[in-house]
Amino acid sequence: MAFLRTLTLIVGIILASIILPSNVAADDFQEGELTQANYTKWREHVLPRNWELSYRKIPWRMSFWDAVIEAQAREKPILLWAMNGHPLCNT
Amino acid sequence: MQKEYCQDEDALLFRKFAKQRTVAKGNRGGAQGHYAVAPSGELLAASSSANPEVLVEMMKQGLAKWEALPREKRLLSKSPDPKASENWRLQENLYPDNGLVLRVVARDRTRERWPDSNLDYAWFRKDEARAFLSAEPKTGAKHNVPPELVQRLARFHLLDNVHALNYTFFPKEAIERARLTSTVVGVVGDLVTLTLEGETRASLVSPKKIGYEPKLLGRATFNIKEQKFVAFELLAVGMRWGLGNCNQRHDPTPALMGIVFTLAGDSPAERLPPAFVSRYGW
Repeated sequence: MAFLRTLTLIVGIILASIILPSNVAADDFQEGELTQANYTKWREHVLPRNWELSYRKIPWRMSFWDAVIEAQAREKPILLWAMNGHPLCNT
Repeated sequence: MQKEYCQDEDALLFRKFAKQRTVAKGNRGGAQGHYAVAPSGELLAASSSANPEVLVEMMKQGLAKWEALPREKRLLSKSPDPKASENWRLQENLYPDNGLVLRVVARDRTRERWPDSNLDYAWFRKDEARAFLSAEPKTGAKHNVPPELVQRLARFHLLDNVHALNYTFFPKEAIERARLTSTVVGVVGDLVTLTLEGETRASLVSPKKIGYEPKLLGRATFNIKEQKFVAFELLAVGMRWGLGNCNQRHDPTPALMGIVFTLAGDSPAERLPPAFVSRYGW
């Protein structure tokens, strides 16, 4: 596969909906430079919340071809999510 | 994959339905989007909107068409070849099985609009992971992580991709500082506990004026017997500035951005290659 294939694909056999957030938590700290004192606050601020990772609970196949093989064998339709980058990583 | 010159089997199948839409609401254009397709490549439904209601409508359309589709149109005439994908999985095959695989999350201090964080992976081979700590790790031992590894972090992972994939990575000459020091704070049995501290500064003036200057802090635990990290966390916080390429950054004003590196799992989704792995020189 060429570097950063123009379009990378992920797919799922299961058709499922994704609930997107209507708002995000407000930023509640002001410290600038990273210190041991604000380390935990920054860490918690950056790391994803559970709801932000909910789409990863869907058992996506990592590539379109993986899904085609499985869907052909199981005679199922495919849900394909196609984006520049990869929807599960760096999109 | 959508390029005409690509003749891989998955690309040929994809181009049978790419860019088509059966639900036009919120259409972003291009080939990006959601598609319901039969294994044969027959399009069932398609949309391109971040609105979940549009996606649900598209999936309902797709299932209805699937139910009405005769079996001969659902399936490929012959089974797809599982080995075909080996031709285009060169990056995936670089996965460092015994090395260090980190999940990388970036986010602005001030959240502007959703999505406001992004995810990538950083890979280190076994010998590179071992180089994060001194050859003889005793309590109090300080060790400078090899510059080429810290520079790799600064060039390909300490990037502004908060809103979207940033095709502007930093060339070597843009790295003004790249230091990461590990200090052994404890050794219990086979487990060596480390703290990490450092800083980087990357500044590019042309073709884009863009940069990032974070402080680095972290902690990790290395199992000497198994020669692998069993815990790892590195946090980068500092000012970013400028606009990237395709990263949906609209305001170049300097602002704080944080990036966290943590151990990745080993599910298929956690084995996706880093965006710039082809630049690692592996």
